[in-house]
Amino acid sequence: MSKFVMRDSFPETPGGFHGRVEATLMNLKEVDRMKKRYKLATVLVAALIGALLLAGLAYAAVQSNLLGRLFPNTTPNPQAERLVTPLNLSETKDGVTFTINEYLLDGSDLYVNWTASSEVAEPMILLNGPMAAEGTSLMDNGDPASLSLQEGAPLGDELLGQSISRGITSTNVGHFYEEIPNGPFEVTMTALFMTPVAELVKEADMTERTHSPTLMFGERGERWVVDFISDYQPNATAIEFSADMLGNYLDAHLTEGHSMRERIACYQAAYEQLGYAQTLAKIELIFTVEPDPEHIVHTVIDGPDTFEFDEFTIRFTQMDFTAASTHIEYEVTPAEISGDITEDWLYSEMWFEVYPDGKPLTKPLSQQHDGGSGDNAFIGELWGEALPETPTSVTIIPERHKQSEQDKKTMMEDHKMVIPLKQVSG
Amino acid sequence: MRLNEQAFVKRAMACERKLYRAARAILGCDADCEDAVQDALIKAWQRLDTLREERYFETWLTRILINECKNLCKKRRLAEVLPETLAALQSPEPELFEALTKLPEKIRLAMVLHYNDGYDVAQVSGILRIPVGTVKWRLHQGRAQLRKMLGEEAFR
Repeated sequence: MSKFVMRDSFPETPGGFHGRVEATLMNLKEVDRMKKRYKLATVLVAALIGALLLAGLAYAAVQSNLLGRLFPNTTPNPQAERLVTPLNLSETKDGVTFTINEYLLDGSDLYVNWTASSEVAEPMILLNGPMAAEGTSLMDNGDPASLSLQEGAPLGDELLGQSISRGITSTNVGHFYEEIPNGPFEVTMTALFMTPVAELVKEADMTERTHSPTLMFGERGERWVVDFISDYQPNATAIEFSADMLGNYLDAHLTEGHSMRERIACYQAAYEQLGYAQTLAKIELIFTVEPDPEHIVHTVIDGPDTFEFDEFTIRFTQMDFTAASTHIEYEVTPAEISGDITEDWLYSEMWFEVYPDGKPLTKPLSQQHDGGSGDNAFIGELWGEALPETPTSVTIIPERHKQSEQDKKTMMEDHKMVIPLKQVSG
Repeated sequence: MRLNEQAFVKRAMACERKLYRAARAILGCDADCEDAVQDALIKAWQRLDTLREERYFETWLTRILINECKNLCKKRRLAEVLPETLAALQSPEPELFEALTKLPEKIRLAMVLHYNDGYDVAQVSGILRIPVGTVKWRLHQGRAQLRKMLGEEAFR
């Protein structure tokens, strides 16, 4: 079967475009930065996971890592407790161990908690391949603190004078973009343990541009990570476009439609051949996930989903409170009116307070406005942690404030919306 | 977790070419692409906290850019994306470039993101917020229409 390859037919990147990019990036300090209010939940989750790694302790008051991760400050809801499935599937090879601890399938997302550890003091790097379930629409979205094939975790006692840990526990999160399988399906997860070969440098010590394979050791939130980089330019005033040898290798060796197993193998080969690291052990674990449709409960809108106001019409397209997460989607169509009500403020300054069953949330939801679904409308979504109880209705009140002025918000009480919900199984 | 300014700048510069292609797939002229990318970079910097994970930086920034391109189209009532003749002449593959511009925007954007910018199907799904199956269908249609316009020999 011939491979479809479309040559790059676009003109060279114009100098004007490059200049505008460069000028904009040079003046970022003058741009207001968004406060962390809507990422507070994510930061707290990452911090808690970091605390787990440092202390080596299980989440307080819960035996399940997953339930502790999903409900860091509240009690788990009964659905989540029923759906969390312990596995304790483990393999040890050459002094390293990879264990799949447990999973939870809530109807649209698969959460898999795992642990990797080393028996030796010498530092090594753990790379976690995204999970794969062939024949399904599962896509590994990652967890705020999860690893990737280009960013690994150091394992051992010490690295460049920094105390590290011989073990790590983390969670992969995958989303099904179509219906979940009706019956059992297999999931593959891979842990790649590598011995560093390339120069290891602390991120804070990288002061010069490098073209050679480098392992950069730095912090990401509460976690220490090792980045596999081939080109690093610490000086923002000397930016030049340059080749990415790792990217070039992957482009040359990854074929269209490749499997996750092939992708992981390609990264492994790239790191070995380019001189980053050598493989100590690769452990692939395959486990079966069994959907539990009787206990997979989520919510759908059971009443009016569209609300018209002078400034806009909003239609809620998804109001999903599952065992493990909260996800709301909506579509806003601005009205044609004059004055200071413009499309820009609806897109940039309108936020939502969400009250399940009329009660305030322990943690605010994250919010993002996205692309358009039609000529005028834009899509938005709110997402966050699961609730201790599945609500029967949701009250949503828009609020307005500039991104940098959250203390000056104006609640739009006259735009209050109440959306009834019903629980559905499966 | 949050990128510092240096990391943000580095990553944004590294995907400049991809950003240009994505913008150009929607907008008809380079001047509009410049405006869109400026707004996109500013919004991305302002909303850095909405980046769920650093490894998704490129797809996240591309999505913001696509939003800005569409906002620009709405503001300026750009009804049709037509290539600048000059740009077509400066293309290394003028016939292919012209054929691409004749594709419906939704198909053209999916083709550019996948075949030119190198995002896999799952990443394109995430950028465009459409199901993976829809991405595959648009790519299938794009390939078929390009083959029809240019003939099989135009592709390796």
